Amino acid sequence: MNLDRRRLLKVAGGAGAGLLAAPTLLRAQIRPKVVIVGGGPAGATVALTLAQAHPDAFEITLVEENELYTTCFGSNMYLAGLRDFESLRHSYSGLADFGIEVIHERALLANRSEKVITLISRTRLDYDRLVVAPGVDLLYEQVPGYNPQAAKLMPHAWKAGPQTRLLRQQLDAVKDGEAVVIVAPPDPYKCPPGPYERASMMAHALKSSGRGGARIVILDAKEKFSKQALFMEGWQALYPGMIEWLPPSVHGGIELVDPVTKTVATDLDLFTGTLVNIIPAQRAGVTAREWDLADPETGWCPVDPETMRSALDEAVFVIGDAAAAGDMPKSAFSANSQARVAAMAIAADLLGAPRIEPFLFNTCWSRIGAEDAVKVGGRYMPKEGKITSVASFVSAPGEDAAVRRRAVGESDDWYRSIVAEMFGPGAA
Amino acid sequence: MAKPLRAALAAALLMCLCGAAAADERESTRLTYLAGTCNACHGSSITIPALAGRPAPETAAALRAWRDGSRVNPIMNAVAGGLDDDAIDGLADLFAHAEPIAGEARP
Ligand SMILES: Cc1cc2nc3c(=O)[nH]c(=O)nc-3n(C[C@H](O)[C@H](O)[C@H](O)COP(=O)(O)OP(=O)(O)OC[C@H]3O[C@@H](n4cnc5c(N)ncnc54)[C@H](O)[C@@H]3O)c2cc1C
Repeated sequence: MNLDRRRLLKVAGGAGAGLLAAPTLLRAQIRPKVVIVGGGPAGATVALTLAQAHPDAFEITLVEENELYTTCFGSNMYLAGLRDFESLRHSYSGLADFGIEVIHERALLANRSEKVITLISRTRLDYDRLVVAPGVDLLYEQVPGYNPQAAKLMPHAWKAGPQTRLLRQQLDAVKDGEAVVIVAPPDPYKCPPGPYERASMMAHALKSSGRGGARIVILDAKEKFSKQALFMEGWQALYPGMIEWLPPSVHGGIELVDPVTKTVATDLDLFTGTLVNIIPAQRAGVTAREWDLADPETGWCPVDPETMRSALDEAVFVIGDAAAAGDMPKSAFSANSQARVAAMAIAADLLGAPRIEPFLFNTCWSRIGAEDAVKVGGRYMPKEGKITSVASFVSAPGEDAAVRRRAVGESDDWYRSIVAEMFGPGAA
Repeated sequence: MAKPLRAALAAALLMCLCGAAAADERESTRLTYLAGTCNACHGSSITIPALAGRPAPETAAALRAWRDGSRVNPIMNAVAGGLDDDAIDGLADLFAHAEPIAGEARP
């Protein structure tokens, strides 16, 4: 086991280390190649897991276009002033210590029959196993009038980075008594409780800075949403009268958004905000779709629930948000859990490691107030060809303040843990 | 853990050497990956209790109590519900001998 072997090497030194190093060198020439596209919680975790659980056994290449990863998770707390922007950003440099090669480029083409991908610089990478973890794409056009250009005026901030900062700047500019409009997406999308945590954190920012007269309207594409009773209760208690949620049965559907006047036209009425945050519908990242790994009908990538292997190619695994992962929500926690399952299957394929039943788990914490977090989650197993929920839990309404405060601490611990799972122990 | 760190580490090392030799490969691979699930939350502990260095009987007893519901913690009840006896004992042992992560709260 990795933990023990590392410690052994460190403590034993000398002869022991030499003995263990020799076969490593011999193996180096014939090490199987694993190429991973996308360095989010899915891709980065699979790289580090393989490197740690099977030291020196693979040649691992992680292809990620950005040099720094900005976490979406935690970004709502940045809006609220409860985290700074830099705390959301993480470098891949620690992965070199584990022998992982990281290439900061965009992967463009895949020739799956020859098992080779091509990067934007024309670099070709051949693989024995390919992991595709590109996250989601936003379907701008499904919100009439919205497009990448309009997002510079009405941010989505559903991909973290410049958009997140833009949203924060616009929130800072909202004056007391003014309006904020959030357009929330249809299922499935990444982070089901995310839009409602965002509304909570915006209300916190406004109220705690003397702008409690501002109003937030959520125009939803859904009739109900994740942890709804908990959010509604929290909004009533912490931000009375500030947040209004309207399902499609009330607003009648989004007809047009206008980035210049920052107006959203629905069947019911026109909603104008100083800040309009549009979160469009989503599907698997374009890379997965261009490489024919997605179901054209749903836009998500079908996978074997035992292994996260693509249903369309034996040598490819799709994990994280891009995968059609049955009952599992699209979250960083799920992505991390799926990464471990894919790593086990890859080790079984290429090293003859034992095949092990997957252990799939998720918890999503959401912050309602500075001292108030709730959680939802569960355990999943492959059943009848699908990842199926077998145990679940959710915070209770009316919980003790101490329980909610403790959940804030839990989510902070989780953040540091997941970041260490992606970028190495030094990153947390 | 009242033992001085150096002695504890040496003892842990010995046990790992024997343990690793004896352990069946399947079980050790399974435990490595299961431990990853634990680390997804317990990897950097302030509020969530640290696992590294915690005596094995203590961890095993807690996991059994969560599995049978006699101790209530919604997350841990859902996790432990998926662990068999071998996994519980194996994980408890693994973490008892793991190096504490720097700066982490001691159990
Ligand atoms: C506001 C918000 C709050 C959230 N809060 C939580 C939370 O509290 N807890 C939680 O568990 N989850 C949360 N999430 C969800 C979480 O961020 C995602 O589920 C998670 O990031 C998915 O991981 P992934 O690795 O599949 O994809 P991503 O994180 O999207 O990573 C994909 C990576 O692939 C790269 N990439 C894509 N295509 C290519 C290519 N062709 N070549 C090179 N690189 C490529 C991208 O640059 C990107 O870095 C939140 C999301 C949002 C928006």
